[in-house]
Amino acid sequence: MLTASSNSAQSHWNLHPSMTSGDTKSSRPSSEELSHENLVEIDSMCMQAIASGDRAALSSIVLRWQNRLINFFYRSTSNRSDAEDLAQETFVELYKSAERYNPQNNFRTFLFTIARRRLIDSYRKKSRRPLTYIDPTDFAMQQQSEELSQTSEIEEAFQIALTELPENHRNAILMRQQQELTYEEIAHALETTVSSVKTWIHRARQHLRDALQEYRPTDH
Amino acid sequence: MHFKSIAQQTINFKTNHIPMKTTDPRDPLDQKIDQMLADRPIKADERFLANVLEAVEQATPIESVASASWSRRIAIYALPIAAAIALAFTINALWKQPATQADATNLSLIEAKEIFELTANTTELSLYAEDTESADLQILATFDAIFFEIES
Repeated sequence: MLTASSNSAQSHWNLHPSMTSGDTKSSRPSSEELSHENLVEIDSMCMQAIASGDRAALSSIVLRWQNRLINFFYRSTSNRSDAEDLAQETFVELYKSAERYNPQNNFRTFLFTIARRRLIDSYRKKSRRPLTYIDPTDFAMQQQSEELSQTSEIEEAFQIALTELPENHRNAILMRQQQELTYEEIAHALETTVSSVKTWIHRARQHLRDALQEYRPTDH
Repeated sequence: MHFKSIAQQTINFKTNHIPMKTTDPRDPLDQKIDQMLADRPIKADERFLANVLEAVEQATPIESVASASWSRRIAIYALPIAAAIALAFTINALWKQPATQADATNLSLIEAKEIFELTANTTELSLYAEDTESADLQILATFDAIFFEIES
């Protein structure tokens, strides 16, 4: 029943990069061809549809945001399973709170505000800082043998350095660099000021730079 | 003053619109950090969407059950609440009823008689008033009679 529902959903809100066509409008462009503004508008429309109980719209949003959200959580938890669980909880929460969504507001801010709260909740539940354990299967690097080990080493150091950051600093730098949110969007999502966000990002970068100093690439 | 406000606006514009430079683009380490930060090494599992929909499905019935139990709870309490309101009205009505009866019984016999006579005389007065010839005298006589009655 769920699969059928999600399939019918995709026919109405078909915007996932892997789906090139199949919408009610045959001339609809793929998501790559859509501008950022168009996607923001579509996400906003999806939220309104979700508020009226449309699971198809939810499927569309999940397909568009799943990788971004999972990777956001992964950088904080260092664990794929936890990251997927948190992403799933975020989407469920998004579905439940769709009625509260104001189309005038920014969807990305709305989504990452929920994501951040989920993350805080998970820390509270576990009563500890994010894991420093790194699942080796998570780093499926494409490089060959020697290069691979070198990459894994710096990746591992990078991941550890990230987990050492204060939560706000890590969220701010990830939202900026990984999720490409604007400073204003980050400030809204983290419930702070733009200047604080800039300071946090600066400090986070400084910490990462210090932690990865020994991996400084050599100029050829 | 004018220049000051322009300067302030310029500062505000710079603060709001020009992102702070935190990366030295020439530094290869900064470039590597940027690259790793932007990287999204994890791809969502194929079952992820189905799992999310399943979780939503599970979360929604719980809510509807919760709202159903809420309405059931209201239905359970509705009857006693209605009965309590009806009882309150009845008690209120009973409270008021003896009071009015008491007022009525508190009238003395003399007062009752006075009221009766006043009514009778007023009626008589209206009958006399119809007769235009002796109206004035009769009215005066009637008033005298009423006055006498009241005084006695």
